[in-house]
Amino acid sequence: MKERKAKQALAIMVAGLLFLVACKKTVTQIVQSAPNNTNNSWQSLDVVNIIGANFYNSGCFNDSLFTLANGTFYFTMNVGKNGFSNGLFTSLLNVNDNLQATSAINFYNNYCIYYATNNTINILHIPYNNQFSQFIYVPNYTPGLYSIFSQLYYSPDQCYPVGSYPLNSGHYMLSPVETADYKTVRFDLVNLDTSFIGPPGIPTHPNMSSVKMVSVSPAAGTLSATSFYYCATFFNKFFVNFNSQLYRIDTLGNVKAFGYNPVTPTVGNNFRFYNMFSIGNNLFINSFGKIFYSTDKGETWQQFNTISNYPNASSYVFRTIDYKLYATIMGSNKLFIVGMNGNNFYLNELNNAGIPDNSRITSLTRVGKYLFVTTYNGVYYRDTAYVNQLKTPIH
Amino acid sequence: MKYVLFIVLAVFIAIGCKKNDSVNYTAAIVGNWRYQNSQIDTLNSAGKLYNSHTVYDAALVANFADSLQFNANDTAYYILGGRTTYTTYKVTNNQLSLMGSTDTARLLITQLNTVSLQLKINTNNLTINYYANFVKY
Repeated sequence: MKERKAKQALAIMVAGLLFLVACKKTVTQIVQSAPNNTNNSWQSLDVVNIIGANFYNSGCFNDSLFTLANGTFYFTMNVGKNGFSNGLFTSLLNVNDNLQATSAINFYNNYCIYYATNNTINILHIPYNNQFSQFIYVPNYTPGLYSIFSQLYYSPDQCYPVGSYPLNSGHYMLSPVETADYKTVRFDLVNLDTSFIGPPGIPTHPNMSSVKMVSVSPAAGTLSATSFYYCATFFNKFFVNFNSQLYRIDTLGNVKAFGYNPVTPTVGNNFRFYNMFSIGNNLFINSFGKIFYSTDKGETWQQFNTISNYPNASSYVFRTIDYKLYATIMGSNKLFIVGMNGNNFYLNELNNAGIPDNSRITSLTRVGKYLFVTTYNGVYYRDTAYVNQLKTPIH
Repeated sequence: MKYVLFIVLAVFIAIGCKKNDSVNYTAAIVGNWRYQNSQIDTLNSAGKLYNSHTVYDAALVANFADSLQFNANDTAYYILGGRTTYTTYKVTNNQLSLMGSTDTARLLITQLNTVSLQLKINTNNLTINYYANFVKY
């Protein structure tokens, strides 16, 4: 009997042990895989960087990247797709690199506009990847007046979107031309009618009847003073900073003079207008880190909050790429993505590994699945899926 | 003897069925989390809690994220004001490592279940314990 009870006890204990084992919860840890190195840094666009040049600006037409380096205009085909094995690097046109022409060259869809000489602005029209037509715009001067055709421009790492000659509504261009007293200035509003485009490679002149003269004067109670020239276009209007004044000029030649700045017209407040960008229908001006914004397409302005987590953001240049807002710093290889929360901008620094420390970012252009960065030290690219990798997880 | 055996069996059952507090953090953290608030505990010089308050910390949102998305692989997405950024991440026990390209933040997961996530964020201040609370969405 005792032996039987002992067996029963042993059986119960074994059953209990089995139950215990069966009820134990299993904890499993998954080992995370290391990030793929090829996705962890920017890559050099070697097919272009073999020339070792300073790259000032870039643009995208079709699946090709257009770049400007040391006075030469290049295009690289087939860069927007997977890899660059069939990338073709071709010198299109030698451009006069003097007279600060570099900062004045701007890329738009099928157009490249640049200040070429003391008396000419060149407008390239590029209907195909390896062909271009060329306008040469030479203004008519009035005897006895002073030319102000030549201007001081911001370098491309200081300004966005362009700095001088943006293309408005697809076919309008604006340039200061001359003055009698350095106060009232004549601008030329040029309608670049494509019907005047000549055959590829042969320079032509636009029809001068398509040029409208626009008289521009400082706002009441303000004075003009020589300064850098900046012009951007949004919502089919030109926004111009000229002679320390802010103007809005439309394609009919109507001028609105804001004064020294858009909020306090008669008080300068060190307003320096070299960066403009839009988020939806809201328009922004960045002036030395002081942000102004307009909700009525640039007709009236208010001051925005400063950049919350980077208080000393005076040298940031905001750049819109595919509805996302990025920022660079003048003279730097740093790249930031910008978020907006209420009336505040927040900057987060992105991984810029692969872009050499001594580079100065001059432009950002997306072509296909890649984002390209031009710098004074070459061109670099990264798959857009990895561009927004943070440098520091928590700022 | 029967009573002894019964008690032994009951103990085994009790031990066997005891709720295990272990959390599979790696699996449980996967999903979308929205920042709710922060709990800030202040300690006295003896290390004892003497004040605790809960706030919505706009600075944390600005410098971290108002939404976090952990995918099942190794990527943590941060969402704020229309922009999405990311780092890789790794969970080891209750430590969450967020790895940027140059810096890594190591946070303690102090609470994680199907609806809430609490992360202890290093403040470099011995008298303040900072916890960020997120809710699943």
